[in-house]
Amino acid sequence: MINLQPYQNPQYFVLLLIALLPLMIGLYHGKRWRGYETIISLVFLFFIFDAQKWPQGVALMGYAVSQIVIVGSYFHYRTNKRYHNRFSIFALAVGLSIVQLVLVKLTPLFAQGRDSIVAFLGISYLTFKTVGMLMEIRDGAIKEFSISKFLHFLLFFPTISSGPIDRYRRFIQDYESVPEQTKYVQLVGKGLHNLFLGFFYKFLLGYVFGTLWLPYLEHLAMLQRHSAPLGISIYLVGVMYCYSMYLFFDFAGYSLFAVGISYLMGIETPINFNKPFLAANLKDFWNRWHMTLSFWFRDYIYMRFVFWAMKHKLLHSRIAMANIGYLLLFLTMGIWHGETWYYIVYGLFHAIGLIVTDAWIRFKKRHATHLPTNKGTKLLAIFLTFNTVCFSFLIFSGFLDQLWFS
Amino acid sequence: MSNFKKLVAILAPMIAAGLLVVLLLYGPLHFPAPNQTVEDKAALSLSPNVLRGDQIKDKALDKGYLMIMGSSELSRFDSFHPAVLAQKYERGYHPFLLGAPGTQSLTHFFSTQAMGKHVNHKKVVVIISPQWFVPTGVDANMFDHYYSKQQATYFVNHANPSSPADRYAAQRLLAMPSGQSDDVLAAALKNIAHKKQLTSMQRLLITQISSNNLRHQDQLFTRFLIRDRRRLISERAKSLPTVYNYQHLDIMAESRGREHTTNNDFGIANRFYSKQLQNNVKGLKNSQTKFTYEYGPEYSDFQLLLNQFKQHHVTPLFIITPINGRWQNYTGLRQSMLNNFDKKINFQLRSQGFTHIADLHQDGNQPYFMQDTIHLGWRGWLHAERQIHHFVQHTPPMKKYQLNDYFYSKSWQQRKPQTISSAE
Amino acid sequence: MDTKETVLNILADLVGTDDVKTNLDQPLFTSGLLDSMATVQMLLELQQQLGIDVPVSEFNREEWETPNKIIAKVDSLRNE
Repeated sequence: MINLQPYQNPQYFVLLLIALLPLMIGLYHGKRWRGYETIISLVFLFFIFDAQKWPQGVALMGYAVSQIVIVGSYFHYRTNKRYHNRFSIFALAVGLSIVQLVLVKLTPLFAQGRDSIVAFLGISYLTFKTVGMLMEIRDGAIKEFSISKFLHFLLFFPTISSGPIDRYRRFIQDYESVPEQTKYVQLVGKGLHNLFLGFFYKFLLGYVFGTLWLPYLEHLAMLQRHSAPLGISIYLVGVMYCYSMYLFFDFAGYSLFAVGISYLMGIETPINFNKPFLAANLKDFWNRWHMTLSFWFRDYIYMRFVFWAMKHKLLHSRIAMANIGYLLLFLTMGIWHGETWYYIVYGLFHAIGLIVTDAWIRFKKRHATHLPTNKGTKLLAIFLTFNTVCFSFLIFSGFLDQLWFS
Repeated sequence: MSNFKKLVAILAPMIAAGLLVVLLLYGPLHFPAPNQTVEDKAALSLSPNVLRGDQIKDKALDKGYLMIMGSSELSRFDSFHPAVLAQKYERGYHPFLLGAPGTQSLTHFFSTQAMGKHVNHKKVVVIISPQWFVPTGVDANMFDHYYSKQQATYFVNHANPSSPADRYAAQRLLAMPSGQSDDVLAAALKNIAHKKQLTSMQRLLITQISSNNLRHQDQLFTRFLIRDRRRLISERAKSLPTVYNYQHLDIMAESRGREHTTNNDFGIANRFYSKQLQNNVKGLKNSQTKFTYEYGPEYSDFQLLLNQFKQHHVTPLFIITPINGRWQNYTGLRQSMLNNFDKKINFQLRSQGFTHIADLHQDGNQPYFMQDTIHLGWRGWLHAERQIHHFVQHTPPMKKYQLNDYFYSKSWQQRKPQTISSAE
Repeated sequence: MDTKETVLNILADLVGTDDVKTNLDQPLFTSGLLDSMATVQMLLELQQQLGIDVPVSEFNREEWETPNKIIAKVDSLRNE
């Protein structure tokens, strides 16, 4: 049985481009053949979840049905004038919609590392999409809902496995319209550019860092684990940079594929990476790294929490409120990555990093006249941020767990 | 410019690039072998891509290079390293070094089987490290680092599911992440491991598509990223006297060793000691009392390599390396365990007709025989090289081996060496 | 007090300089002058001083990027 995992090998792209060709011809001539689009989406989804992956396919179908019920019901509740906009109902809807994700995330903890039977590839990203929708429905921002559109948004196959995380209203706007021909030609150009850059990132650089060098450096670092306190060695430093590069090129390459294919389909899926290693501080970094995820956390958790906390005068100090917001956001993100010490420490590390960054920015504002600002300080800032980030990725990689405790 | 023209301007270079790639990888092309310089470089490089490739090795075999397979000790390039001695003096062979830290039997098996007929009736040298034979077998990360899809494809194309050796090899490869990395290959390996023929679909996918592509990649790209050690070797050779005289060189090796081991009492090279050991030397005392090299899958992996030698009528010399005696005492590694290992591996070799063995496992106490903890150096290299020289010059080709599939079994892997009687 | 003055006072207060009052087209988010925290404060001030309700969902950084854009946005929301 043929099973096709997204963007795994060059053959996948050949098949995908052949399948997309009729759609692209249609878009070029101002027509969006939604029926055809639906069929190829289903075919490619089928090949992700067929053969030995069929249990995941079943889990996905169950998930989709339950989300339709949850989001549909909540939409009905919010648009019917008879009901008040009660927080408890909203909380219930969010709670229900994350039940399956929570199960999937907790199962390995209680089942000796085995995966839950309701798990499937991409469940996190789909859950981000639906929870975002629930929040916007509560705000009254989403004013229309149809099962068909919801499914197209939820199961948009170029982004199903690992994002980028799109927003319902933005997606539907693209999906309901056809780009102007000039605009579409530009999109095709950008899309193909993304694909080729993605090849370079994922299949070349990601391969060199991740497959050729990383295991080797990890092995050398392991050999040196007893020769200095905490197993620190030059090879560990090598692992840190090599893993960071691998993480970026692999994931950014993948994201470029997802965005590129979306463009070819006339959907402007938001980008996920914007030169993250040129960030001048950690705040800047999170505006450039895995952007759709950090913006999701920013818009749906951090800003909402701060808004709510300030409106209810929870704390007098705005600084304290911002800092609690950071901790809340990054602990959530850490736990979402997995319930291991290193993901949680990674979250804490970034929360503390951002608190320090904020303090530094306030300090800089107060002493603006005494502190130099020039090319040199800017470069220093980028250098420091880069190294801080790489260190956090070393924590994130879990290699320290292996180095210290295995 | 009209939209259509813009579209063409965007698509044309991409389509052209795509066609070129397809032609380059799948087209009926043959790319010429690299020149002698690349060959010379590759022979001394220890670079993983040389090990993973085929073309350079095949050509070297055809030209009569002597393959020396080993692991980390090969990178101890002091003045008495075989590569240096063979360059300085007429030793009757041109070494081609295969291996690097982390290469063990399984890696050498996949590399050797892909040499095919090029290795027929050749002599080779295999340097066996006792450390390969840890109970868990080769580290999956290290195996993956040297894994070659081209060699795995070669294996699948030539494997015979009714041969226990091939079934064992398939099963071992499947146990590694790299063996699972390609769905088509993994499915074919599963068939072989389960004694089933490949389906015609699998055959088509593997032979028609992958082989050409991988061969072209090897022919085009392996020649890059080869580490050039020719200067280093020449430098080392310059420091040697013009005439080969073993006794004279041995004295020289001893004084070189003495000069380079001044910061510790173990006879370990200064650089190695200060970089790798100094900070934690206390923690390592008696840290290896429980180490054992007597059991595990490595014995069967090693058997795969022997099977290749038989299939291609290869005459191998096996060099079993010792461990630095003073270091061994300090870390508490048991000599009795080492003797057991030696007995077991000797039995596996001799009982099947592999009788050319330079067994150095008792020589770890000779001064300046080892460059550091477990790697040959100075006098050790000089001694080992003399054995290689003798083997190349005077040893007649092997006639017959009697291989026994018992060596692929768990019961052999777990067999206590004490139960092996010398009469067996 | 008109919308423009109120908005500019709020912004000047949040950014910490009066620059925003003179340069009405300078980007506030992409330049890092306003962060998420300051954004929330701005939305709350707008609610308190001008009585306009902007749910976080409706807050799109592109539409609120410069002082001019914010003034226009607030005007349109007040006239709804």
